[in-house]
Amino acid sequence: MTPDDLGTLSAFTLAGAIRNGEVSAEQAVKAALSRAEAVNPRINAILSFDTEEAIEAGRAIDAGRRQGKAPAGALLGVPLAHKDMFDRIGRIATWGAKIRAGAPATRDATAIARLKAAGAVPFGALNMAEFAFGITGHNYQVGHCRNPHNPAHITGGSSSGSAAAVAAGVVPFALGSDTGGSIRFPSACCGIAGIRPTWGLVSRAGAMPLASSLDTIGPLARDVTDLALALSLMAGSDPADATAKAPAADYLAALGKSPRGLKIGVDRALLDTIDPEIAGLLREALAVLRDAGAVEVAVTLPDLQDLDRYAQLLQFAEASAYHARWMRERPQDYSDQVRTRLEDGFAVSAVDYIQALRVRPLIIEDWLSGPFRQADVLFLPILNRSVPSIAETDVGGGKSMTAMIASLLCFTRPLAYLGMPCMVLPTARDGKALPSGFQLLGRPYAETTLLGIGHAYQARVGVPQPVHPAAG
Amino acid sequence: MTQSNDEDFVGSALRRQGIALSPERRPAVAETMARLIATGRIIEQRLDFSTDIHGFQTFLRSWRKES
Repeated sequence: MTPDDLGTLSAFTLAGAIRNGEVSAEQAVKAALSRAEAVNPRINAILSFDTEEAIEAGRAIDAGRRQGKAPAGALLGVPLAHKDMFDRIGRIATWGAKIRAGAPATRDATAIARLKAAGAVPFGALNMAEFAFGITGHNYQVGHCRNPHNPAHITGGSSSGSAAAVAAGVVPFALGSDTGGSIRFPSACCGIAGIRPTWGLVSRAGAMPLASSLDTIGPLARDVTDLALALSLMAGSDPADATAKAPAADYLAALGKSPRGLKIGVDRALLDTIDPEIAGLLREALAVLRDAGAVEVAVTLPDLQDLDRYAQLLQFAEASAYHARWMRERPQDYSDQVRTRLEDGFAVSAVDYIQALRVRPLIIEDWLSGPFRQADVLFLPILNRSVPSIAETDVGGGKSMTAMIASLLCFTRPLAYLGMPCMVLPTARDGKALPSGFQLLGRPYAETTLLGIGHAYQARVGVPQPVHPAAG
Repeated sequence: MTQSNDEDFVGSALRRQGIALSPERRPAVAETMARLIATGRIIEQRLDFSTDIHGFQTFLRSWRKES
């Protein structure tokens, strides 16, 4: 197999091929490196490589096989790339910023440790929005990440490098985080799948915090099977994170279940508010889901703008608290946009912040007793327009910033407040040959349902193949 | 509060936190806060003394047991 051939495989298939001896782990690692060297100058998805360590780790797996050790591990030899916000022993994650310094991490983030324990080989750290506080993929500190489908366009953020590296076929899946849309928005912009798990399902220990009561860790992948595989390995209680209390489920086992009869709730009025061409792509995706056996039911969703304001009260106040010391001592080391957004949080009163926390279970009950009474999952847009260009969204911290961010986040940040699981799947490309996507919101801990539908959807439309970025 | 009062509040709140906010930024931050605080007032109408600050986590965990 050529490096490009290996780049088309899912993590699930690649690990199987390595376990069976059809492909060596060293080959898999070198293929990812080769692919990265070819595409990274055009998309700037990878910030740092673990070249020598990764090759050495691959060779160690292969040596074990030669010595007769039974090869094991659900991710045996699969190159692992992650947003550069996870602790790894002996390293300092940049968090997409220039302000980070200090002592290297003394332990791996729990999510990384669990993937490594399954045989994954750390391969590189990926571009991200500065402090994960950006939705477009711009990064004025380490360089903007670029969309493999068209490098003049945004990747979405903040897991920009994760989405771009997966879409370009460098790695089959990557690790990201989602506070207000940071897995879902870039997945849609880059034409891949991604899942924001139920809040608390995956440990955040060792991951950079942005806004703790909204932060989640999750995978982005071309193949829904890899989302299920990665989630099966990462989910579950963790003594290092008091919020990670939920037991994991066998998400892979859910993939074969038919979605026949499953009710998908759609607020058609919402589709009328977005660009007609994108709405048309969403209707096509809905037709595929119906063809798979799901039943569309009409629902009316509660006001998303209210939800977004609750989410903002939490996000702004919590992010500003984390950054308070650096904002006092080193404000010049932030980009204008991030510094400007953090300033807002210092003006949130403690009372308003606490009220936004207290009302949260009541709002979730509204959704569960409202639209979720009629439907098993809810279908919503992600983008309200075609993926914008880097130039047209290059607003820095200027006056148009707030409106631009609010427009891009209008379907993702509100749902983050609910804490429920949400999966994104790609639609067909639009008239500009750019990807788009839709999100499926599930009840708390309904990841198995979401992944089952996603698998059925991809069984009909196919798994996205790696794209070869044109010269920018 | 008037816009001017809002801006004064924002200026003093950030000063207390030791954050330097340029005079040109005050109106924008005040506007954002006015919008969010209005939401806070709507929220309050749904709350009573039984709605706990940790209710979100309690709710999710109870849902896990039910599902």
